[in-house]
Amino acid sequence: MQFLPAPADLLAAIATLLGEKVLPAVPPELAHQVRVAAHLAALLEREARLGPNVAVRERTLLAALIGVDADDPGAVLADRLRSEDDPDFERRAWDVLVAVTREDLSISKPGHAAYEGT
Amino acid sequence: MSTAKVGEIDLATGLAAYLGEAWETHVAVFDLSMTTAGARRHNIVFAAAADGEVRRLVATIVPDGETMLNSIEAEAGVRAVAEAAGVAVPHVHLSREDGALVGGPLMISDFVAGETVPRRVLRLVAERGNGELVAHQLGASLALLHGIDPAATGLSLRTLEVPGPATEAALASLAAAVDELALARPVLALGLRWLERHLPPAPSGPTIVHTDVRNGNLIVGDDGLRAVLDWEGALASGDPMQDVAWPALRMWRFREDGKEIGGFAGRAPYVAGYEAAGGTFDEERFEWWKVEGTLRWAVGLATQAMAFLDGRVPSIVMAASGRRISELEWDLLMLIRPAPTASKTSPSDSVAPGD
Repeated sequence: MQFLPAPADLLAAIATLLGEKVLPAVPPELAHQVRVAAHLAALLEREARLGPNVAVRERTLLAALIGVDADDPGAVLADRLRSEDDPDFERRAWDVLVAVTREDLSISKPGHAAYEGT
Repeated sequence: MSTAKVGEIDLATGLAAYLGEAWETHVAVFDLSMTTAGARRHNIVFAAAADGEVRRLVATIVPDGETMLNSIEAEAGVRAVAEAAGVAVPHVHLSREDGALVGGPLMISDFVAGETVPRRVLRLVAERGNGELVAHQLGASLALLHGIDPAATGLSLRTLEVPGPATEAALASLAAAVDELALARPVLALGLRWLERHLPPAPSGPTIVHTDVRNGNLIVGDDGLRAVLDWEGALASGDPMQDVAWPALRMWRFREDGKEIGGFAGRAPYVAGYEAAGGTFDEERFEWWKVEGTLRWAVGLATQAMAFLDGRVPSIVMAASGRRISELEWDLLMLIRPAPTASKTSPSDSVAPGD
């Protein structure tokens, strides 16, 4: 087993290094890529911390919606939404998918789900 | 970056030769500056002196071998037609498919000063307080474009790959793309179902559409909208609401979420501009194309991620695209929100684990 720091702590350090030290030092044609790399390191840090619980909650929500414990409940749901004609199920799916996507965004882009307009 | 060469090509000499031929006089080219150096297109700002006059111009060069949606001459042609109809575009001086002296197909147009980078555009608009003006001008520009009769232009612009109405063609291509995703995405499947259920009637006839008018493809100055850029994807058989909806997607607002039209302003001045210039705004179709555009962009991000994974485009930017899909999924869900029932009016009320 690896000693500390944990993956999340290392990724946070990498994100800080890229964003605060490397980005100002690179030539302009590399700046966007370095900015993206810093952003991804921060995203992976959140994924390392939040990902396991987010995955469990997603699986619980999707299994409750589709009514079976599938290996890939997302694929089962997508297939049902493509093949069935059931407006009531689609409405219930919308509720669940809002919750699932909100969880996803807590990793990929915190704050994005605060806006509920169109 | 200041340069006079792309690879081993002396751009100043090539540009001067082509301009001299077009203007039928001796032309000197100098002060070249590469504004973008992407793999797909080079944009070079330069000065050209002829007959005692110096002009600031922009050369757009498509490196030989690059895929193009339209030929450079068709792109230059639609810009000229749009300009004649009153749309603000940089005037095109020449276009050549055989731009051997500069390394590929070439177009030269006037340099138009102003901001193009979206966040800078929004800062400028905030400082000048002209967001509603820009939205109005944008709406008017689209109406002027959509008022052009495609059959009367003689342009050889691209048309839809699938025959039939633009709405149905878009739906068919999206359905194929969603079904082929490497990982199933139920939100995209739900969005597709919504598009099928809400498919509007066919548009009244084919319309020339730009397909990518939005904050980021505009030049904006103190006086408002100065030019619409990037006509490479123009299509001769579109639905006008496709163009009208595109700049209204959340992803083009750059954190100004409450201002639907490009972060400039709400919908009212934009629609007013569109209608004042002769357009007919169709809200049902507009909403349909907003959903279509959001779903299409999500699929596009997935495509970019796959291009990274299979090694075609080994760019970290392409890799990051795959992790942006949930943003588009959220936007899509908000757009297709079911009509309120007695118990549910907001996603804040939606299910949570343990419900």
